[in-house]
Amino acid sequence: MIKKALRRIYKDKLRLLMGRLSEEYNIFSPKLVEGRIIFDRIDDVSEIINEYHTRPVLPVKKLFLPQRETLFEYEIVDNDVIISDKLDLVAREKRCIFGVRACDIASLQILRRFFSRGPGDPYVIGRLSNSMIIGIMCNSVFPSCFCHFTDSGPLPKDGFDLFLVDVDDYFIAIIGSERGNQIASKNEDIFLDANKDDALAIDNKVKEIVSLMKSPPVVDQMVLYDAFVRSFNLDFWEDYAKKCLSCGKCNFNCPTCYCFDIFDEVDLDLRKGRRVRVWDSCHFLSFTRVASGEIFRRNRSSRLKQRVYHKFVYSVNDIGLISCVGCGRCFEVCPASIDLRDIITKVLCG
Amino acid sequence: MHKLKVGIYSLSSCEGCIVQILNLEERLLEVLNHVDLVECRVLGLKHDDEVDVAFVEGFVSSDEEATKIKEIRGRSRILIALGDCAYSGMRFVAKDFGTSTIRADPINMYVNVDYHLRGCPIDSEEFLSLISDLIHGKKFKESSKTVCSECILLENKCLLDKGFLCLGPITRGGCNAICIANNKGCFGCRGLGDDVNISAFIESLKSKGISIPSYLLGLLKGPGYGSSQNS
Ligand code: SF4
Ligand code: SF4
Ligand code: SF4
Ligand code: SF4
Ligand code: SF4
Repeated sequence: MIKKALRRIYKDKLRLLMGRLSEEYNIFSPKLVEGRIIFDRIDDVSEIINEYHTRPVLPVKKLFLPQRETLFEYEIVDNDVIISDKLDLVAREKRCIFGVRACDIASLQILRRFFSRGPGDPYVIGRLSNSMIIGIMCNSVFPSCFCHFTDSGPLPKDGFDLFLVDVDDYFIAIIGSERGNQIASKNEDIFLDANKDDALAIDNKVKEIVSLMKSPPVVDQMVLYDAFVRSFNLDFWEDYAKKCLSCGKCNFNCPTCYCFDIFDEVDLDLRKGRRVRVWDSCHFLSFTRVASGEIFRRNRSSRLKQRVYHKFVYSVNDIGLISCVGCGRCFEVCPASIDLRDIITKVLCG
Repeated sequence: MHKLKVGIYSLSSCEGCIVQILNLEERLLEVLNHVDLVECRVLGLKHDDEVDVAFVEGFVSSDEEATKIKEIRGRSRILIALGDCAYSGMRFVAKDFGTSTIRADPINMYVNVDYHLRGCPIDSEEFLSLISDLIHGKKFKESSKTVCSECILLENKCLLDKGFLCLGPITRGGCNAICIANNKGCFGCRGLGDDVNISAFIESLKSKGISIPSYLLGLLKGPGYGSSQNS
């Protein structure tokens, strides 16, 4: 049973709450754009949707690690180089991200660990620290969901300020942080006391969602890790590689893929330029091309394995966690229908 | 700084790629501050002497054009093939892999090509980044993404899932999936990506119930212009 503090918010009060928050925060939310649900900046709280039966196409990652981002600009003025670091903008912005599902919340925790290694990445970490997260529990599952297997949903353990569970005409709001607690106390007219049955209602809802999910049987993550380590040289990887188109879609819409390329764009007169970072994909041949032209992962199977092993092995070595949150996006968009759950099942049986 | 001498030359083509360059308008004028455009038939410029950079659009359809492209190569330091005509002899646009009876030779059958700007027509932004790299003495890097990966960045719904043919999974990106953004399937005008898997693509179309165009079977044997342009 959930240990965190609970409140109730009647559904007709949600927009009032978001309206108040929008006075202090820039609001981002899933939004309907030409028939697709995408995460985007919201100008008017009427654009917020809290019920939708799919995931946003690109995960919430894009608001923290934008697919194209100018890190800084520089300009030569009177023999001096003036650098304007875009980090200032990151630091100044206060954001509230509404409508994040449990799997995406879990992915932010993973990105936080990845981007805190070594000197850290102030752009991503800066955005993670200045963003309030209001999550929402899934009301139904999608055919590719298996967050129960990866222990990342449908109820997140941490990494949110508020998390809403949809029950009839109200939400049960789980308070996940001091910031969330403050929002609740500042808006007592909206955050009503929870009923003593509300914790049980959350439990039941989680059970219902899990029962609908097509998830491989849950195993201890170290068992999974060992099974992957043992399977590295098995033949079935070649079978998957024969099907894979190396298109890279699975990387770009994975909530935890964080690889990027960096380059400089210089204006023609050489007096101005900017440093840009864009997403990259380990399925591309160019991913391991080094300056001399060598390519380290020429075989398609080695690239496919890189993606899968990063999620279940290298990431455990690196940050102590698997980095798959079971969202199923990678195979939902895969033109070759390479289902990660099949791979996991093969590896566990192998 | 030494200004690059640039020539733009046409073989057999519709001149659509040159139009893409001229369409840049003010931004082209900015480029012209940094290069000397010495030859361009459309603009009435004629030079016949050495150039630093030669842009060539069109394919070779006659012996005269074969001589002409060799002559241009002989007096240019860097030679760039513009568009699918120059790159593949228009095979990716015409979907004609190894069956054509008309002569449409890609220029690299006759001369070494330093860089390709692909597409039909070329992407003017990509032209700008190439010319900027040349002005700065840098190597130009072609996009190594697939059209598919650019498509998902736009958060499009995949046309294959709706039952329509789209060549995005096997096509080299760099156009920002412009056709899909305009609700048309990619027809592959930029040619093949780095390490495409055509047989897997055919299987994927089958499983989605999309009929397989016969040129894909032809493409399985290679695009048919006889050189290894996809490494
Ligand atoms: S690997 Fe696939 S299922 Fe796992 S988090 Fe990434 S996109 Fe989701
Ligand atoms: S190596 Fe591949 S799987 Fe790992 S984060 Fe990078 S793109 Fe994603
Ligand atoms: S989406 Fe599928 S086909 Fe494309 S690279 Fe990933 S596994 Fe391969
Ligand atoms: S619509 Fe075409 S380019 Fe876009 S994802 Fe689908 S196959 Fe790829
Ligand atoms: S989407 Fe395909 S057909 Fe359209 S411009 Fe790009 S490569 Fe050419």
